[in-house]
Amino acid sequence: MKRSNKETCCASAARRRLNELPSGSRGVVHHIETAETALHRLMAMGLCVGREIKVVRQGNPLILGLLGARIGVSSRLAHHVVVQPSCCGSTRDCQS
Amino acid sequence: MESAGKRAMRVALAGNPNGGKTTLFNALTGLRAHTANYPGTTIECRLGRCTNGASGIELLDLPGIYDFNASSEEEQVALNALQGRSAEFGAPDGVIVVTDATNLSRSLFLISQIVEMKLPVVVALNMVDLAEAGGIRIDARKLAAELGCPVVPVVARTGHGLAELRAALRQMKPPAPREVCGGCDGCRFKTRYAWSDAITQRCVEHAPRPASRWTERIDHMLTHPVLGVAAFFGVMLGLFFLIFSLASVPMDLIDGFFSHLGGWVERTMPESDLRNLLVKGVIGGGGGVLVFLPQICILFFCISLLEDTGYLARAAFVMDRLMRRVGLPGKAFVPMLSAHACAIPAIMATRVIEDKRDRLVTILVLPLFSCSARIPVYSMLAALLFADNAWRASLVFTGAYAVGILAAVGVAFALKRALLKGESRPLVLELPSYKMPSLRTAALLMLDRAWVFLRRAGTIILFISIALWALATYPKSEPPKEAVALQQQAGQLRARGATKDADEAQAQANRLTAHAALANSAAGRIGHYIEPVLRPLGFDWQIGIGIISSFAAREVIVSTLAVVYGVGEDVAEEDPESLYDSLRRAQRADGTKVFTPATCVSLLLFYVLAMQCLATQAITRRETNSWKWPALQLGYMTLLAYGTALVAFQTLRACGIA
Repeated sequence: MKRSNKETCCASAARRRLNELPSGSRGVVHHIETAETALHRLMAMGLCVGREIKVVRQGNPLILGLLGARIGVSSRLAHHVVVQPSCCGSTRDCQS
Repeated sequence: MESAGKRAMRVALAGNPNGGKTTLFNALTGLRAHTANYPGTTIECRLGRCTNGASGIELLDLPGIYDFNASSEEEQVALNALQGRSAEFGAPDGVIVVTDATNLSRSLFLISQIVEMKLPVVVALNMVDLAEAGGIRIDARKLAAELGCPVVPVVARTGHGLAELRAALRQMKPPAPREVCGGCDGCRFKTRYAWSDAITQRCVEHAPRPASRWTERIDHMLTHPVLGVAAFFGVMLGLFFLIFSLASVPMDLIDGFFSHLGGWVERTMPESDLRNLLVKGVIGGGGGVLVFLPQICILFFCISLLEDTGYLARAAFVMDRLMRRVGLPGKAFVPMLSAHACAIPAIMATRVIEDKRDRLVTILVLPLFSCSARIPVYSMLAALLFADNAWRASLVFTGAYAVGILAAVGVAFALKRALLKGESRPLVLELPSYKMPSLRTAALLMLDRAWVFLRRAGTIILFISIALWALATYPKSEPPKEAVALQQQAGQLRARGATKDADEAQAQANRLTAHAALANSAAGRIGHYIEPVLRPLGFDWQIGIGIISSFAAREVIVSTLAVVYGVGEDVAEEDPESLYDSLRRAQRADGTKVFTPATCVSLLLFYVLAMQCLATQAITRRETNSWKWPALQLGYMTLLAYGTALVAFQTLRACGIA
């Protein structure tokens, strides 16, 4: 994995909440704020710290790309997920 | 494994939602399946016997689960059944985990927990065809070694791999012990996913191909906040139209069949109470039940197709934001739309709503949407209000539908605020890839729903139709003097050969007799009794009889009014115009017109909002497992209807429109 590349490339990007990321952006889950029970289902579907996710479509509800599946998530819930964005929006520039 | 003891070996089908569990269940059991309830709940389960070489194994189709920590009532019920916590069911003897091959790492999260149960396990790796099309290749043998249990690639839709699956079922044994969650402190999700990710890396080759782009492209439109909603309305309108139009052919056939049957009984049996009971009560009531079947069948067939393709998830997604303003989930829209055809299949369709409270609120407000049974009533009242103006008459219709919708939305809002409080659970909904739907699954679901309806609701409806017939027939009374005189006159006319006049006189005599019989029956007496309560609404005792008989079924009022105002039932059916004319001219004892504009409006509003359909109550009882909720439905709707009609009538009268 091109770890070092990614770290230097994306170190400057500020962490954002999941419901604030623009459509098409990718990122890595940094932490999840509350232990709200509704989040448990998302976590059971693969949303862990360190997981790579993609915002397929922003909105309320938004569409999240997680482990190859597309999941509709309400904005209110997505607010609790803090993501470290990959600074590059497409896979062409940043192989991760 | 040999079946030990009396009970056949029972194997549960577990797995993530959208993994093809039900398709696999249907493929393995075909028609040898039936629907039962999880003990003490309204949640249904499908039980069936395997065919072809694995017979002797009973399969239990569980609702989809993601995790052993349930986040919904359905998941909890599935888990109880899986872990053998329900006393009546007992633990299963084995588990088939139906796994979506395109989503293996997520499924492994659940598989890790199932494997730890130490029950015999077989992993059915479903949809391998789709996986391969997407460039995903899974080494089933390696995976089996990692998991310690057999892994059988299948394609449930085509039947590929089923023979191997049945063979694996016959040789099920507990998996080799695996400790996935070591220690379990810290994020248990993380531990299991670490395990799952590792296995996925070892067993799956992923070379993504653009095959899945279709889903993305279609979704781009269907999940768009504006386009998606428009598309959804289009689909729903199409569904509604289909139910309305396609169903009318078999419905007419059923109606025709039962009238012929009734006619035949009338001709062959001598005049007697028993004959009357058979014709009006049993045959009439039975026909009244079966006539719902075409709509139910079409609705569920289409819902199954829509769900199979994956479209319903998009619909729920796109309607979610709008529906949340009322406090309901997006999925509630499907039953709400089909309630405009008939509330009964709509109430049955609320099972797509996961949250129990949301489902209950939806069921409680569905009858407020104007169903097709109200149409004859609307037609009659529109004609009475605006005899010559078709434009205004159609406004009456639109207004009536709008009132129903507004009332439903309002009551839903109020219910969620007051009685069934609670924030709707935030949306977490998987949008599966689009797939070709299975006609077989749709047909099986349709048959199942139809049978459930007949078995549970059908009996109640039939029973109550008979009860209402009795109310309108007993106590009997002598034909009035005028009728007797007319009958004699008819006899004399016939003797002289003036058959036409004789027939007319006889018909008139029959009408008078029917009118008197109804007025003196229990229903008629109740009508008189409640008249003081109805007068503030502008109704009299005759309309009262109509309303009472309508509590069985709404459209009955048209034929009841025909009898009550002495026009005759057959005339009402064949020539509604003459019925409308008679009603327009109808006068009270003091000479004032009965159907004044104010009365018509108030009666219309009453019919928009009142709960007048025992079939609906029967289904509500069945779907909620208690009489409390149908009673609440009846109570609040009656109050709402009464109050609205009262306000309308008094306001109109005060404004001088008597």
